[in-house]
Amino acid sequence: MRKILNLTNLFLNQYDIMKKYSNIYKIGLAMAVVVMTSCNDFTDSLSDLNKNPNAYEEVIPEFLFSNSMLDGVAFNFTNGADGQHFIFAQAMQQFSTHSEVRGTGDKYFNESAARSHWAVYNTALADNERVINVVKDDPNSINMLSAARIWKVYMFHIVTDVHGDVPYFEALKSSEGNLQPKYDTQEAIYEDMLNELEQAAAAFNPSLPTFGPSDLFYGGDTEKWKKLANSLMLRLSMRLTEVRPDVAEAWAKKAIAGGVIINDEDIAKVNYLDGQIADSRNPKAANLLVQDYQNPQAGVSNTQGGKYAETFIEHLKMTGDPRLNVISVVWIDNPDGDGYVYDTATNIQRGMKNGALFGEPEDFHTYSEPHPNTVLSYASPVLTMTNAETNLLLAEAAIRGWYTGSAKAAYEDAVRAGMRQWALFGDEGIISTEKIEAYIARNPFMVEGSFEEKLEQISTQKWVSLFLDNYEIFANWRRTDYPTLTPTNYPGNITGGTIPRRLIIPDTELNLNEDNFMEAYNRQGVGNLLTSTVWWDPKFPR
Amino acid sequence: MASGPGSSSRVVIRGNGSLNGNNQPLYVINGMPISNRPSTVLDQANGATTDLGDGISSINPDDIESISVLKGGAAAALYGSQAANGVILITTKKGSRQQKGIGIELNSNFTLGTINIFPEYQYEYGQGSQGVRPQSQGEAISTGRLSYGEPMDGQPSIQFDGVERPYSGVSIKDNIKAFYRNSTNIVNTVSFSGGNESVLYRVSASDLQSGAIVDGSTYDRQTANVNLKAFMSDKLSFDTQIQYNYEIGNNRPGVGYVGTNSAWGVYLLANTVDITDLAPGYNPETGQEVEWQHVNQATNPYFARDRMGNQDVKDRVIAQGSLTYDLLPNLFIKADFMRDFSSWREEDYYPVGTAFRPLGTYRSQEELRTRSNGRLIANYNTTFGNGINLTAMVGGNLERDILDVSNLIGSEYIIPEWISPVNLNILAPSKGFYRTGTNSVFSSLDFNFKETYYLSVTARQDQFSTLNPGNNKIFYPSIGGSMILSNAFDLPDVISFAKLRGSWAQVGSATVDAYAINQLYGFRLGGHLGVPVQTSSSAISNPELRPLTSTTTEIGFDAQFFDNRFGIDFTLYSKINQDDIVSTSIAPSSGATSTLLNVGEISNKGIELLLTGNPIRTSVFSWNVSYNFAYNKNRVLTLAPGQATGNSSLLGKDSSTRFGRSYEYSEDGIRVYNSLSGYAMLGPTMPLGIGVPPYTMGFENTFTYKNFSLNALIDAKFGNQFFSQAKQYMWRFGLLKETLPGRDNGLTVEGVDENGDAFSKDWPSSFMSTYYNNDGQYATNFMIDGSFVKLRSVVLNYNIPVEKLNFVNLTTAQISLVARNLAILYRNSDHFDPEQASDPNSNSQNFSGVMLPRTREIGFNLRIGF
Repeated sequence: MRKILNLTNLFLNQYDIMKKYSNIYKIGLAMAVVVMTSCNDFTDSLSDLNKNPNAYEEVIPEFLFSNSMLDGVAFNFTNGADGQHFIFAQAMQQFSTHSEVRGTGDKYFNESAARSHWAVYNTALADNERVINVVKDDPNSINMLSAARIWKVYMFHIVTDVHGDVPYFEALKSSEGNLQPKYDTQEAIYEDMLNELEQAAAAFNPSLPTFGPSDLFYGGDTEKWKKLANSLMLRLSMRLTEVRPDVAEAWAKKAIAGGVIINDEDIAKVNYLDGQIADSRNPKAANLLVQDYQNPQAGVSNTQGGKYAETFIEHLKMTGDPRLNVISVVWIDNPDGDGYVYDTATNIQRGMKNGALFGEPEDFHTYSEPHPNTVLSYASPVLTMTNAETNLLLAEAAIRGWYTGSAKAAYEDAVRAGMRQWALFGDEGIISTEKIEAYIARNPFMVEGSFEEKLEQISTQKWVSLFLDNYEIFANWRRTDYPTLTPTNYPGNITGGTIPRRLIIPDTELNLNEDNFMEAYNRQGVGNLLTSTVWWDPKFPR
Repeated sequence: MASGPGSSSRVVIRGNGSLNGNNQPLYVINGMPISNRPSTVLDQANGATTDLGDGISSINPDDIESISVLKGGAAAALYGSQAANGVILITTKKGSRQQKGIGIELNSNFTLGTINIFPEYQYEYGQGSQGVRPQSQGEAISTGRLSYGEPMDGQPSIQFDGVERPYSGVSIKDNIKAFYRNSTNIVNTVSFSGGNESVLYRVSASDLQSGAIVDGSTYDRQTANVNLKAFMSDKLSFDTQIQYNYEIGNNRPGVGYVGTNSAWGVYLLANTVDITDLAPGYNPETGQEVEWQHVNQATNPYFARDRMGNQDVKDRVIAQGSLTYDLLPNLFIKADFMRDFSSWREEDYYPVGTAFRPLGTYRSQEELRTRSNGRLIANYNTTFGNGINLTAMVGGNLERDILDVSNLIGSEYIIPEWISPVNLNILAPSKGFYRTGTNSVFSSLDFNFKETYYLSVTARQDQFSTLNPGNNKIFYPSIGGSMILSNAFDLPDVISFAKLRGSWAQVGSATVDAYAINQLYGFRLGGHLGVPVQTSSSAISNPELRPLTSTTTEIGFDAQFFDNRFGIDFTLYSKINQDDIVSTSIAPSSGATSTLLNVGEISNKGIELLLTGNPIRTSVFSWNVSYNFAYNKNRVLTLAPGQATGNSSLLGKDSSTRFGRSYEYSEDGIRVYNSLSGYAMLGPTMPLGIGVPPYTMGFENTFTYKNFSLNALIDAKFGNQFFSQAKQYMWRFGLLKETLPGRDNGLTVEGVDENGDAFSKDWPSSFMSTYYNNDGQYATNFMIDGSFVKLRSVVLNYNIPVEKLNFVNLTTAQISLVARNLAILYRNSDHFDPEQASDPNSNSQNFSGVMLPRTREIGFNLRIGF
């Protein structure tokens, strides 16, 4: 108030001065001139005004490709805050929660998070399509085009695996005016994806330019991209074992002949940094931390009530798996002072039962949760395609007679690779060769077992080895039904006590692309629910 | 004002004409437009949504001389595209030559707001889930907002903090009253005015101090205003007004989804918990938030109130000047300039210890805004022929708007309790600079024949910076006429005045943000491990956009009877907006989520009726009465092909229609159940109601007896509904009586299954928490009727007879009792004020979150002049 009175006095004084010198109109005129001329916005032309000084109007293919990769590799963790991680990792009984709200996979209770994967269309896939549109007509950009085509297949196979029939051939063409793409059958999508992988891999030319360092997987190494294309081809071909065994066999053989990722240095991964740029921290670790384990020192009251699941921890303990001690901790009172410290000792690790709890149990702090310096490390990589997986695919190909190598050797290589890879997460992830060989000795490949026993062993190993790659674990479980998981039956659950088999296509498609959505909806006849199935799923009604 | 003093308001004249554009009118002060862009910080992800007021909220009512409203095309020529939604003309007070010496006026106003409406909860079953009360502290936290426990028995039961308290009902009314305080609003204004032959002046200063119902939340505003008119010669005059505002908001209440919104905790706490037991909301030693339930985004209300915070400071200068020069006695030219400049700095934070952001967050925003208008007009007036008077005007206007925004967003405080951007591990700046401009030329011709026949013709062309050259211009004309029947014809004596009028007017405009026609890319700050990373937008730009037009046709009459004792004013209008620029959602599978299209066509048709009366008019007593009624029918006539079909299409419907899904019914009207889960199936998307009331009316009476006057205004709105998220959550959490059936012995649902076969399922009583939680999907349960009749204001004035008070030299003295929102005479809404809809920036007004309770305001006003 004092300030205002002073101001008022100032104005009054000014008035007195003006009156005294009686040249008020000169001052007035001068003021008007000053105000008008000081405002040079008036002199700019209208079209100049509409240039944003803080934005760029062209796609720079390599820089936008990096964005697509960063968005795409961890989409299930980053999209919709925590996205589908909660659904898959809980449904696959690796994680559990006492919360209802976040208990979609744990309790089959709340489906709201099951719609968010669709946004990959208008983010990572759309950016990749912009890249393709810029490079596709330039013969010198063939390596960029091939990488973008392979990356597109990687993202699209997840979309169709979790949603069934989806827009594919007409998708991502809004810039060409197609705002309502038709839905394609999963069969047609798979056929095209496999062809794309073959053609893109064949088109690489090491003498031409690449994305270079903007290629976050391989820094522009075309040979490694070929191995990734073949590895994806192997993954996709194996997906069809139940629905089109002949197609599966042909493509699996082609992929193996082309050469898949075998060596550790060929793993497709994106590296991250524990620094001040939040986007450059491992998004899986960051979201697990922020969404749930953000205050691990407390060891109690995790945000979303999350812990490792009993099924997962018991399996690791039963098999004497050394990975248990590099991914799992229990927070205990610090014996040397205040606060808490983590303990990786096998005997105290225990998982929380899925679908059993509503509300934090008294012994919540005694359950295992992710290791702060491996799974939750900001500097750890996101593994997109590993030699652990390819070796398990080779082992399965071998027991199907589609691969002439030894199933046992491939399986053991898979186990070794799957354990070695934890060293990438930090020093506390290193597992000694002795421990790895001891595990193999204790859990030998069942050379004499039946086909089903071998398939179960391979698929269960995949469940452990691909930990954190929720999409692939979920897809492989639906195809093989291994590992054998006992569904939960929480009061009022929405699946009738069955494990979810699909994600839900959001209402935006029903509202904005109704005819095409309904055509696909009616064609598949399985609804749009957590309990719906996809074409390659053996439970799909035929 | 949804969240207390200094927050935004919403005014719409004759219905929403645009689906996405701003539908609020242009505010014009002394002939020149000001900026009314709202400052709402929206940060849904972090739960910090705060209404920081709009442009008009910083105008001091005591400086206003008069307000008038221009509807339809009346403002077309002078204000053009800016006036497509009508104009609110504000004239500020000025000095006067009649004033002897310096006229001083003091005005003091004090009002107190009390919460006047409370929801109704059930108090039969207490906190808990699945029919069981909490058995441990962990369970008490998990069920902190669930009232699905056992019948209340008053026995000691464990609560969220581990303390046992009686298991008996705590009235929501008591909890609301315990958490909130009365709001206060104190305004003091002093003004000095006077004038002589060459100068008229008025200077005022004002101080407003207010406190919202949330403790610690204040908004203060100081205003200084100088108004000066100088007659420099008999041909040249100069008029200027400068207003300076200094506004400080402190801890403005959060109004968004959870986070800083304390109302979530207050309204959704389980019904056996006393809210005061949640205080202080944090551990004083560690600063850690004390969680009252397990979804930690829903902050402890005391923590939200006392530990999270925001501050904002705004400096605003509205400077305007005009120079008028009479070239000839009947020809003048006038140059006008106005610049509305504001600098606004906002900062908000979550401290270390916030349950869902344990390391803390920080955000600041600085905005520099200007709206500049320069206008030059020439005005010629002549009389010719046989009594024809002509006024011709031609002019041009340049408008430039700038919004310059800098943001800092950070997290992870290094040293707790020190809120500063330099004390963070992560900090990211961002920058926005938005410029728009409109160039206009215009002219008008006004004919007047014998003050009986009037004709007005206008034409204007606007050119917009936000559209591509080639389609950025629009020309639009208007024509209007009127006839004073009482002058033209010999009418019966009972008719004192009668006038017929009609007009047709177009206004063009371009409701496009700066740069929206360009496809733009940015970069991730810092790239990724040394590699630059480009980013994109999920909206597809449309370079072909062109201006939209709004065409208003209206006819009306007004008449006065019995020596102006009774009057009637009636208008019939039709306003059609064509080529409305609509942000059209598109299927994400197309690779984008939205684009802008010139596709909308919206019609608003309606009637406006005003009846006035002065039945008693004596020297000691008079009674003035008026009644106004308006009906507006809003229809969307055209939409983009992809949005013109489907269950949620607005085509043919009111543009404020809310859509949602409810229960699925068979052809025979029987509810359909999912045989797997036993829950009712969700039906198709369907219209649930309209947010903007089609019927509005007001009834005002003023009685004057000697030195007393009493004014009472009743207003009413009918025909609108809104979706209440608060009711949805109250229902889901078992706070409402609707969730009682089945709590004792279970519930049997009967209907048909997906195949049409008979279906029934027995839900045990222990499943009622999940059963009613699932009800949250069926939107029809949560629609609230927005109709009301309110005693909006009552003002009792007493004019102190100053001439009898010889000991002081007063010219006027008036004391008033003022009451606003005094009583709701009719409502059909349960739990809430029917005006609870939340976001003043929403065109559809059909949604309400979990909002602060509304208040009834009572106060007094003292005005002294000397």
